[in-house]
Amino acid sequence: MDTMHESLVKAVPALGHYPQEPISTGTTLIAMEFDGGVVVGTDSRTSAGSFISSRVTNKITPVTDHLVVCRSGNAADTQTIADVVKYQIEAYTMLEAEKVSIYRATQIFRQFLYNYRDQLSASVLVAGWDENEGGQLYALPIGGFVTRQRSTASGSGSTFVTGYLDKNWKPNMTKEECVKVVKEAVGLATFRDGSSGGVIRIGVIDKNGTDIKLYRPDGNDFPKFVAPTPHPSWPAHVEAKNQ
Amino acid sequence: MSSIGTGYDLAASTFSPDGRIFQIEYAQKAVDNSETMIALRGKNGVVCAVEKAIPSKLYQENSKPRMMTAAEHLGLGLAGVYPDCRAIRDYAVEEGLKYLRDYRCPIPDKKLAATLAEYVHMFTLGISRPFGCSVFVNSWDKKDGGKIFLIEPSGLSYEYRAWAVGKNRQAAKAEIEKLKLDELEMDQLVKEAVRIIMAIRDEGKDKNVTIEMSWVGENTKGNAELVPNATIDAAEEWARRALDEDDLDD
Amino acid sequence: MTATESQQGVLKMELDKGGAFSFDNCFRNMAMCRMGAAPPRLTSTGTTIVAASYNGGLVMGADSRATAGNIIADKHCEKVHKLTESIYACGAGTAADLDQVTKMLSSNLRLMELNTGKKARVITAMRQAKQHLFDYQGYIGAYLLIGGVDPTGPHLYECTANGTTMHKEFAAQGSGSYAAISVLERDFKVGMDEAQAKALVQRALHAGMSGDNASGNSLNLVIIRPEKTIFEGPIVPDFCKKPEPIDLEYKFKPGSTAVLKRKEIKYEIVESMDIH
Repeated sequence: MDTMHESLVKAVPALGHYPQEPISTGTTLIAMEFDGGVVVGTDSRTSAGSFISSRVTNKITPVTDHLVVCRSGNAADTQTIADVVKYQIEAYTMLEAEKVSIYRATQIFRQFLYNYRDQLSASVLVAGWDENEGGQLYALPIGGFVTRQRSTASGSGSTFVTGYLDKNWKPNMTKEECVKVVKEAVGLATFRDGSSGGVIRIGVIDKNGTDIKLYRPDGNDFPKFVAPTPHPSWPAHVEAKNQ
Repeated sequence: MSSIGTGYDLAASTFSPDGRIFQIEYAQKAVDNSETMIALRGKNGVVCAVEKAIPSKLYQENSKPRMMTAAEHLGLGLAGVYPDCRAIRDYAVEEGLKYLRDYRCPIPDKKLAATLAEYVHMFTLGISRPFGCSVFVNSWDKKDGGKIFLIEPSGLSYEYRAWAVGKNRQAAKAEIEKLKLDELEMDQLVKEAVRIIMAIRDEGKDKNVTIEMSWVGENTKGNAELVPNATIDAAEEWARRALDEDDLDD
Repeated sequence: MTATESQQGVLKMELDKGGAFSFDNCFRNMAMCRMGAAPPRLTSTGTTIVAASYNGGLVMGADSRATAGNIIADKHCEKVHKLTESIYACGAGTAADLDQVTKMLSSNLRLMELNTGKKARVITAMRQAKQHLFDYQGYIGAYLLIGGVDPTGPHLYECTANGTTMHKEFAAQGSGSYAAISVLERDFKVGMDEAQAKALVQRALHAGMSGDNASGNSLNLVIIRPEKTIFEGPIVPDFCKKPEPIDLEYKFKPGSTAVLKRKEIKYEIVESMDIH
């Protein structure tokens, strides 16, 4: 998803211009609505080309007590979007003396993503809870298209787990069921996707606010998978001598 | 107005020494002298009614509507200088559409009222002349029920349970206060509104008058609509009888 | 052109001057590069910069080599920039941009301190840097490690030219960062004391300076504690000292070389001259 202008990608030694690879959150974002809230799950890898520039990134950015945005794409762009939209939502909340609904917050994100669609490379999930509509999850891919989703996966890791999510989603899931499926899905995605990895962060947003938990790969509650054992690397006649 | 003619009433840009802005007061006068308009909030909706004199038979029917909409769900009742009314209505529609485009949901009643009030207030700062009209913003939804806002030429905006502006507003308000508004169903509310308009009508001048009326409530699914002529006629019939009975009682 | 038109022209020029940078020449230069013109060399801080936090404070450090192509343009350049008494920034990237950005940050932060009567916070420095750099979409080639101690404790941030920021416990940037980060990743521990942290940063810098051609010469350190800031440097690591120790003695005793043949050549004076 490299939307950088060609002139930016190339180094211009005359200017001392040696651009780094754009830092991007080649990412796994998974999220699910449940009755009364939303569960979001992310990996924690941030890469600049092949270099992992952070392995403990928090991609779940709180916007209000009851609203988070999960970021993927160009890190500088998504950080700025989160900052600007957070500012706008705070301003509206004060001017109108009323909480901004999740739908409206999403529309503010949409405006930004759409108006700057040529300059930005950002795709986000907006997840939150409000009194009128309960838990809501909106997906905003690059360009500023909005869809409400019951269960969604986005980022480079999503391709590996859409099937898993289709299989495991069912109507009227509880919070605990959602957390289990989301965590497992992030685990599966980081297992196969080279651009995803690190720890798993799971956020639950409901009427009580936002609760983000962290799961380390060396912990007991981190999803574990048994990879198929490889066949011997050596031809049979060589392998026989090794034994 | 003892200070009239002292030069402080020529523009809204200057306060009079005792702290008044005469141009705004004159603008309010324009509303006070216009035809009486009332807005009532009942159990499950709002009606807005105005008495209109028809100066000539040559006019098309309802050629000068005072009941309009800012959006599907927001009724406007506009009293005062007519071109000013149209200008405000155009601005309200524009703001409604802008909100719809930006946030993909209908503009909230409170928000439109605040936006209109801010706009009207801008014109009281002396740059231009103030608006010579008052605006009722009427709405109803399932969650919050009926709402009536009134924006005055000064930019002042309040929410009301019921209100009246124009020529016979005092008499109208006295009548309205007798009603148990919260208990009135929509059909009853229409009848009472018509009755009040007819009761406060100036005697002897009722040759070419008609009543224009809009409603928004559960019966219209939250859409602001004009009340059909047949309904108004029926209400007039009912009101005439009710008023006659009152006369007999007296 | 009438008088008013020319007046308007002047006015327009006045207004047009308002912008910050003009990038017209950048595109001209890029076009010239594509046509094969040899670009002039520009000083760029191929760099190793390192920072690590410890129990209550922060150690930051940088090498001091500035390069222009293969040439070492400056052996003792200062890459540790002071922003406030207790906030410092180490810079990698384009030297000129780094100077300007850090100068801007330090003056803005000082003004803020004077206006508020409070010490500036590290997060303020980071936000100012990131918003400025994001505005310029990476055209200002400043990669920064911003660190310091403020009333909320020690903090360290990494900020790239594109405007990405990350909060870190330890960080390295510049061309030597790959070598440096390996040392940090292996040896960094939460809750180190000052001596341990200083030694770690120094080791990481050594790794960068010895493994990267664009880094070297000497290193500068700054240790930021809540109560005071200590600047150390330049420190020249042994492997950077010149000349390198000579392993063999190349002086020979007289007579070491055997005389095989002798020949005398006579001469006569043809002309002479007095020299006073």
